[in-house]
Amino acid sequence: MKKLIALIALFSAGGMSFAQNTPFKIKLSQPDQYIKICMDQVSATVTGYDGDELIIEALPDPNKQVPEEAKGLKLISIPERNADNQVINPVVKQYGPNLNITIPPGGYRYLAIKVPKTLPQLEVEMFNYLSGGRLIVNGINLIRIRGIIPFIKVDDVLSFDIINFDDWNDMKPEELRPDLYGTITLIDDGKVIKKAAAPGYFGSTTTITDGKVTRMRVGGKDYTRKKDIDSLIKRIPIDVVNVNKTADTVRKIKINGKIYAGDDLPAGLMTLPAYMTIRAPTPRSIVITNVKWTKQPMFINGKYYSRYYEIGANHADIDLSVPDTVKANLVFCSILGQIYSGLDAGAINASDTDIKAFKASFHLQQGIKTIRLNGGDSQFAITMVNNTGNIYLRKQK
Amino acid sequence: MKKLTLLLLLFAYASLCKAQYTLDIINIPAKNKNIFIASKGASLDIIGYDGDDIIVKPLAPAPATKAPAVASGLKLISSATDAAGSFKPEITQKTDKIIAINLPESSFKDIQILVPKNAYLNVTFFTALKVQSALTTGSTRSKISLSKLNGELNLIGSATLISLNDVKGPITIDARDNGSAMAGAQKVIISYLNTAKFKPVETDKPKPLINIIARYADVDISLPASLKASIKGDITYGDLYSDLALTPATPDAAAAKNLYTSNLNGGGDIISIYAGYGNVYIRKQQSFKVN
Repeated sequence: MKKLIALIALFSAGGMSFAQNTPFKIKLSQPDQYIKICMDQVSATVTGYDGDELIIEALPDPNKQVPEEAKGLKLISIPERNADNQVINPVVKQYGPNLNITIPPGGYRYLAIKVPKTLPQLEVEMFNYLSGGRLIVNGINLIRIRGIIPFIKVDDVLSFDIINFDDWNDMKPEELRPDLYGTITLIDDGKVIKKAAAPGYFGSTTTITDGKVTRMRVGGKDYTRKKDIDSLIKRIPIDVVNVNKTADTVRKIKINGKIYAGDDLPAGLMTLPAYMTIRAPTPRSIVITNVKWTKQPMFINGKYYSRYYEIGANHADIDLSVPDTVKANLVFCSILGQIYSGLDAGAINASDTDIKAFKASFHLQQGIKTIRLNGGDSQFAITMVNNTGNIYLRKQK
Repeated sequence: MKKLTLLLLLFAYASLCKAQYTLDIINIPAKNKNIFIASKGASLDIIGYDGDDIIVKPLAPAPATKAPAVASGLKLISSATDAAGSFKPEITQKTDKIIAINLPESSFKDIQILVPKNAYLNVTFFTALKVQSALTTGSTRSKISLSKLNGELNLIGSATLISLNDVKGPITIDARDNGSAMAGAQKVIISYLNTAKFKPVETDKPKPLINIIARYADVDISLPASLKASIKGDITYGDLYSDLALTPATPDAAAAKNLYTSNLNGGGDIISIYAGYGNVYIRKQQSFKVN
C-alpha cells in the first residue's frame, strides 16, 4: 500500500513516462477511479477481466492482413521503422483519484488493454486515421468513447456514450470559431499560457492574438477595429488558457457550464485532434451489441453512477442491436443517411419529451424519429444521431 | 377545355423534367489553350481526344441506390435525398492561353469531358457524394478519372477514387485536405504511364514526373520497368509494396524516419509520394489498360 501511495504521489507531481516493451501495468488505487486512456494511430482491444491491474501491451496486430492490392508485391522496409518495435511510452497523470494515461504513437499498431471488471468508468480517446483502424470494447461497465475511429465495436457493457467525430475545420487557436454561447477553456496540462476574453455567438469567427481579440468575422464581414470588436462583445467570454505548443493547435476544449449553439450542450471535456480537417478512411461504423439495458439505478462498488445510452457520429454508420424485451424509446436521426430497422415497432415522429432527451445530448435536428419498444418509456431514452452514415436497428439475437 | 388544361399540365410537367435532366452536350473551342476545370459534387471522366474543342457531356443519373448488404432483413424507415439543381457550366476565357470551366453542383453527378489530348490540364474538384454515381462502383462514392492525356496534369481536390490511365505527365495530384470525410480520397491510382514521349523538364529544380500528396489515401502507381526514376516517399504510417527492382539511394538530406528514397534503373525522373496514413504500391506496368 505504501508503494502504491508513493506511486500516486509521483503521478501527482506531474506525470510519468514509462518506456517499455513489456506489458505496462498499474494497480488501481481505489474502486471508483475514473480512467481515461488516450491513443493515437493505433488499434486496440479493451477487455474487462477479473484482475485488479490495468494492463497495456503492444502486440502484433492479430487482424493485420496483407492488402489485396499487395498480391505479387514485396513489402519494402522503410528506414527507421522497425515493424517489431513494440515499445510503448505511456504517460500517466493523476488527477485526484483519476488517472489519465496517454500512449503516444510508436512502432506498434495494436494494443491489448485489460481493465479490471470492477472499474466503474473508462474513457477511451482514440485518433486513428488508418485504414482498418478499430476499437473493440468488451466487458466494461461504463464506456465513454471519443475520437476519430474507422470502426468501433462495443459489446457486453452496462452503459455507453460514444462520439465519433471526424470533420472539424481547422481550429488553430488564432482561428478559433466560438460560434457557441458559453465559457470555453482551452487547456493543456492545466497550465495557463494565454488567457483572453472573447465573445462568442452563433456565426462569428474570433481571432485571438496574444490573449486579445484582434478580429471578428460576423455575417461574412471582418471587424478589426477595437471599437467594433468591443461593441460586438456582448456574450459569454472565452478563456484561452493554453494551447498545444508543439502542434500549435488546440487539443482540448473544456466547457464550463452551458454552451449554446442553437441548443444546449452539456458541460464536459471535448478533445480535438491536432488537425481538424480529418478525412479518415471509410467505411466507418459503430456496432453496439449485448448491452445490459435497463433504466434501473446503477450501483458499482456500492456507488451510484448515471447511465448513458448515446451515440453521436458524423459519417459513421450506427449499427445497434436491442433485445425485444426492452421497454424504452429509441430516439434517433440520420441527417443525410438512411435508417433501416428490423424492430417490430414502427418509427414515429419524436414527441416533445423525446426531443428534449435528444437535445440533452446532441444538437437539435430536423426529422427526429422515435421507436417505442414494447410501448415505450419516455424516461428511458436511447439516443443516436449521425450525418451521412446510415443507422441500422436490429433485434438482438 | 379540360383536355387543353391536361395538355398544358403535361407540357408543364415535361418542361420541368427537362429542366432537371437536360442532357445537352456543350462544345467549347479550346485550341492551344491551357484548360482549367473546377467541379463540385460530381464524378468526372476526362478523356483526351484528337479534336480542338472541350466537349462537356452530363451523363444520365444513376439508378436508385440499392440497400447495403448490411441492411439485409431490415426495412427502410427513413431516407434523405440529395438536393438537385440545374446544370449550368460557367465558361470563362481568362487569357488568350487559358480557358476556365466551372461546373457547379447540380443534379448531374456524372460528367464526361473530352479535351484536346495534348492540352495542359488543371482540375480542381470536390465531390462529396453521399451515394454512388453512375461512374462509381462498390464503396467508391466519387471518382475523378483521366485518360489518354499527353499534357501536364495538375489535380487538386477530393474524390474517393482518383484514377489516371494512359497519361504522360508531369503529374501533380494534391489530395490532402478536402472538406469532407465522405469525400476523402481513399485511393489514387496511376495505372498506365505513357513515357514514350516524355522529356524531363530542364529547369534549375527539376519538376517531378509524378508528385502525389495524399494524406489519407492509398497510392497505387504502375511504372514501366525500364523507366529511369528516383523515388522519394514520405510514408508515415502505411506500408510500401513493390515488385520493381528498386535500389536504396542516398537521400538529399539526412535520413529521417519514414522517408524512403530509392532508384529505379539508376535513377532519373523524380517520383515524389507523400502518403500520411495510406499504403503505397509501386508496381511494374503490365500492359495498356483502358478505364
